[in-house]
Amino acid sequence: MFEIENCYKIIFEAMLETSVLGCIAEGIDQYTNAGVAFVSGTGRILAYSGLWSNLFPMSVEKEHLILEDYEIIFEKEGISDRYLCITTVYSGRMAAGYIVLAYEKEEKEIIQELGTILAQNVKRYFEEEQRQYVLTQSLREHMIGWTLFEDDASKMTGEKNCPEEKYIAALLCKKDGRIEETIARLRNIWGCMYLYEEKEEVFLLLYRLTNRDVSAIYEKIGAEKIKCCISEVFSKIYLCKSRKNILKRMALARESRTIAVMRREKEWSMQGLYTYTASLIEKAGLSDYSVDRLLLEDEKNHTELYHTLKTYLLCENNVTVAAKALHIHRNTLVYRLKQIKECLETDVNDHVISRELLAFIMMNDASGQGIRSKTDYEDCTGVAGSIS
Amino acid sequence: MKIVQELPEVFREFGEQRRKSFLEIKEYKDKGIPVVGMYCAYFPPELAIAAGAIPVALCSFADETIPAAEKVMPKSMCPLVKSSYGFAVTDKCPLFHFTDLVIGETTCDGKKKMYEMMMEFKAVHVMELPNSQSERGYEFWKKEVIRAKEYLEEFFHVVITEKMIRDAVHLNNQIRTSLKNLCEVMKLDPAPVSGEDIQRMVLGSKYRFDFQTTPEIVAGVRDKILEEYEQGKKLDKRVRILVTGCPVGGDSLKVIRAIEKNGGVVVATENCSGVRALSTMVEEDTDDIYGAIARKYLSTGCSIMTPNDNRIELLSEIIDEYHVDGVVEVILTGCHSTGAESFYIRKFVNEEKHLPYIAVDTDYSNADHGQISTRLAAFIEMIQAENSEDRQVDINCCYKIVLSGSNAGNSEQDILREIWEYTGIPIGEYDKHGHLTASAGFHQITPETEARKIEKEYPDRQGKFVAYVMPGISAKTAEQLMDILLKNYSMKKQFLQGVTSEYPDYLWLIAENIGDLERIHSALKQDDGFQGIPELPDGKKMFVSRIQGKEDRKRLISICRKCMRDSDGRILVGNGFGDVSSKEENCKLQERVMRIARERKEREKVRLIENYYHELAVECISERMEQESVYLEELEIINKEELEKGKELYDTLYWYLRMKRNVASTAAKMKLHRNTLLPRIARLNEIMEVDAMEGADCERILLIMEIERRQNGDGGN
Repeated sequence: MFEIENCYKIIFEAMLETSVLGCIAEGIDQYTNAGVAFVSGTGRILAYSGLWSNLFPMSVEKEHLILEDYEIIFEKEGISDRYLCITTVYSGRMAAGYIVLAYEKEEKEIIQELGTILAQNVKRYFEEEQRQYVLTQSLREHMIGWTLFEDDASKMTGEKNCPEEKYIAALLCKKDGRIEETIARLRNIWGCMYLYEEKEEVFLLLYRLTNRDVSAIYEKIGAEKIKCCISEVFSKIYLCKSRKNILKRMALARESRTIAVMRREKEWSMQGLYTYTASLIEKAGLSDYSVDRLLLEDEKNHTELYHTLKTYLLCENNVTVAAKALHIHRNTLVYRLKQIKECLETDVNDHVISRELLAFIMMNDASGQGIRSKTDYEDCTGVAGSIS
Repeated sequence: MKIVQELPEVFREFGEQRRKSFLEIKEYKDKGIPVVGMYCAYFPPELAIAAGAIPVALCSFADETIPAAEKVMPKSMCPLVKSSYGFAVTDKCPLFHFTDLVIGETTCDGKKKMYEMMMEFKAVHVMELPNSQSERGYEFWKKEVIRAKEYLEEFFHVVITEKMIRDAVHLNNQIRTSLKNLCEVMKLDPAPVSGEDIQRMVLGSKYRFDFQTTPEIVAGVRDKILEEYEQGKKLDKRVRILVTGCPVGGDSLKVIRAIEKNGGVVVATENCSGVRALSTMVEEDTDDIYGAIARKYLSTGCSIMTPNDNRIELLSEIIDEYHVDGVVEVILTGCHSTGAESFYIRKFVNEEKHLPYIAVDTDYSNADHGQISTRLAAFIEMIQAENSEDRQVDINCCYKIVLSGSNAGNSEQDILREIWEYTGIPIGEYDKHGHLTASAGFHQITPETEARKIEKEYPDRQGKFVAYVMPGISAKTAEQLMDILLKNYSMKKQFLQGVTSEYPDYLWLIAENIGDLERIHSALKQDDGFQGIPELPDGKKMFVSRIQGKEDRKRLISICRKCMRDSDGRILVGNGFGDVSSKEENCKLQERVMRIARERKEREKVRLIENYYHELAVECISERMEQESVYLEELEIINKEELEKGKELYDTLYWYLRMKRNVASTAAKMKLHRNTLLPRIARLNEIMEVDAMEGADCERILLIMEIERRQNGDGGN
């Protein structure tokens, strides 16, 4: 048995350390022999003690409660020879997080008291964490969202057994604002959705869709001008994670000319994938004199040769289709292509050259030069690593 | 075999072969050797040879017997059928006279009826020919080939063993190969001999019954043609014509004669006896020899087949291989299938090959000689005018050569060479010490050459250009040309001065061998025009600073190319970059590109980073994604189907998208026949509507496929 006063001392001393929650957990664990973990309202494990990590190694590894552990903790309230005590940390009326203590049977009462003391003292750390999130969801909902988009989504198949079911994933950027309102508008379009929130984005999974619903959903989102990145329809739930990455990339893709409200995967994923190459231009100084010259010409003469070339290459060098896409007469396009050819001094209709040019233009666009500063970019993506 | 006769004599002899064969065939008959007559290219003569008989092509190309045929046949029928029947019914064709059995096929309506009528006075066996070159058609035709073989066995009381038929196939393949090789001499430009001579050889060879010696004789003729060609004995530059449509021979040779009389040369014929029929062999290395025979003969591109896509493919190949300038289609009056098909041929030739096309509707009479000659003369004149327009010395074109050459960073030597090739004006450049620094065409200048020398000094007196005005070229053109070169010199000088401080960029050179970099380093140092400053090579890399933009980099590339000419190593020229803080990262980037280039096993000695953007991007994306999937459900379906049915759908989709959904390019890239590819594309359309997709969507799927390929360690190409 232990004395509760000593716990105060441990908490107080830990407050002076850099990693406060970690020190509290470890200190309490060593003194009381009870595993301690601080779980945020979204399921993230903010800190844990050694004993706790032995009990829930998978969750610790992922720094987030996994679905199985969630069920053990919140539904069974026990694991191996240990009992679990869960103390909710409230912020206002909302649960900001949970303190999970794994203890031996005879300590139940004192452990509950310890939980309350801890809750009172670490509340502000939970509130700090909570401020990063805008969605008000129960832990269970957060857990589902996390499992779908971060963990193994196939764990969720047990809940739904409809083989014909289709899914659409979407991303909303928090910096666009009015997230809750946007989600409410999306709910009006399709009610069945799971949400998952990250620091910068909110991901949605629309489920229970059939092929018939899909086109209507795209249409409605487009008509309502809801700013989002949206995946194509898919039927395997475990693909949520890869869709999330693509959507994130799509959100990063920049196009200075058009402001697309709804970015559909089929139109934007290519730009999205190319954002992975941003560091080639930003850090390694990759550049092309010919394309630079084209941009210079545009700037000097207020022409649109660069954009024309990009569209033409994306239209598989088809003059008719490209002219339509650019909303210009085909003769205008032919004239522009002549100018481009003269400027680049190369045949853009050559299979190989057009392939390389398109790749460079996509990389150039992805690097977001002149659109977003380099540090901004690195901060939010972490893509600008060194060239290996 | 060495041919001792003169070539015209050889051609004449082959032309006379048909006449000689009348006596020859009698001798064979007297020896008791049976004769099998044939009319159409669908009958495999191998069967007759295997049965110990002599296959002969029966007379069918003359006007003289048509009136006799018209007594019983409608006048509107095709002249080939009427002529054939006329020869038969009047017994004017000695070959027909000595024929024991005629083998016919259910080709066109006229021929079918002709065989029926012929049966009244000759033994005729009719093979049932399918209407389509499909697999079902093939199965049916194979049965017919076997039925014909059995008929011959029964008729001549012989047994055709496997060995006999294989020997016959081998022999016929040899004959075909020799004739094919002979026809291919017409690929030479200018053509070595006239098309009529080649036609005479091909037609005449059918009347040589000493089959064993034919390949050797034909090969001898071919060698002689090539030998004389090398000695300079060839035709002048003429308009190269492809003749297609109905079979040409006898009286209808008038079309070929009219072409060749009016300044054209028939470089190839595309019909049932043309170059393609000769280049398709019966597969010998097979267990199913009759199947192989059936497959070869069914592939004949006659217009009675429906659909006849095969013919379009054959035309396309011949046009490209024989550098054809125009296409003449011979349509025999009354041959409705060829007449109707000419619509597609015209469309294909005009729209896809962008060549002129003319259809000549004719028969075997002399009546339209003048008309045909006039039409074909106009047709050839039109092509000549188009071609000569290109060849005339257009001073604007000289501007283009000089400007684009110097912008592309080509050396002065290359630019002068290009000018000489275009204008025929030998031209050279001397430095201030009077040393020749670059020249082209000077080897033509001998003391005997009647050429006027023109000299023009640089404005800064640092050198001069010298040109020789050859006979037939105006001095004015030469002077204009010199002015262009001088302007270019001044422009380059001005440009170099103007941009010196504008783009002080940096650049990396990466090499496989240290020695190469050392050579390049000293060449760069010595080059006055190059503005950059090369640092001493550091191992296998060299840093160059103060690169003055695109032009300077081009100059560097040109110097590298010169230095690498005799080296076995490879070198990569990186991109110019303005921020020196990127130096290390850029070096790593260039090394990475060098590795990619090495993996691609390219022969190019001087590699440029701009040729590797795509692979660089795909590699970068794949690496960053690590094992993340860019999964597309459609691709999974395709992969699954490929595993189950082995249809190579995934590869087909990949190449189809890479070739920008062009069937012909995809088929060529995958080395497949168009007809093999089309069902696969149809299946892809069922799965993912690939033809209805937008271009950007295609690029997206292609990128995903490339990432997948790389992640699976499949490489990019």
